[in-house]
Amino acid sequence: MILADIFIILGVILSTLGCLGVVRFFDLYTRLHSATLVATWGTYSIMLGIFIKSGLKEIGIKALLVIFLMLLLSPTTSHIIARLSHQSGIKPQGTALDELEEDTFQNNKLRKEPEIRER
Amino acid sequence: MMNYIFILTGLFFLLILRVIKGPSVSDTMLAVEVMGNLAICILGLFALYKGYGFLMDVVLVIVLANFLVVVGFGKYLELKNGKDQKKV
Repeated sequence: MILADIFIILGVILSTLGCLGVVRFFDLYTRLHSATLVATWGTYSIMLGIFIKSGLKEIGIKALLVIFLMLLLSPTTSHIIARLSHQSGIKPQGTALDELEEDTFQNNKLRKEPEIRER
Repeated sequence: MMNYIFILTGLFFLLILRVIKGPSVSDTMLAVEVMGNLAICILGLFALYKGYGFLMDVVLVIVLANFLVVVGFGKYLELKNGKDQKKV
């Protein structure tokens, strides 16, 4: 099957680019953007190629199950890493606007003001 | 056909650079998660080319364990942030 080989070659090339990005980029968030390339294009495309090549047998059905689980779990992991590392004080470099920082700053300000008035 | 597995294994060793060098803990965990994704790809291709069906069970376990690793790390960071905010 030519289609399965195309999917596998595409997955290998794009996961190569993603890993080079994880090693070479300058910032945590750009590295995260490059790491999700490995999670989406690398894994989905290679597993789709495995499913097409092997058909509805043991390997192919489990490859489909891996695609379904990765669709649920891989956005959750990147969201956990991004939000909690922003909360722990790692700033993005070279950005003009950081709206999450402004929102959390305003929330902290609103939460702290009534405590001071009570005292 | 085995060349794809060799390329992905080379990338696996390239990511160890980021695990060693990463300035914060988040970079290390990001590289470890990408290494887990590469392990999924390597084991899936190996199961396809050699015809070993039981390796796909290992792949399913790696997917779930890779998720649990990041959730545990998030719990650690959340506890750490909560303590810092209480001190300030």
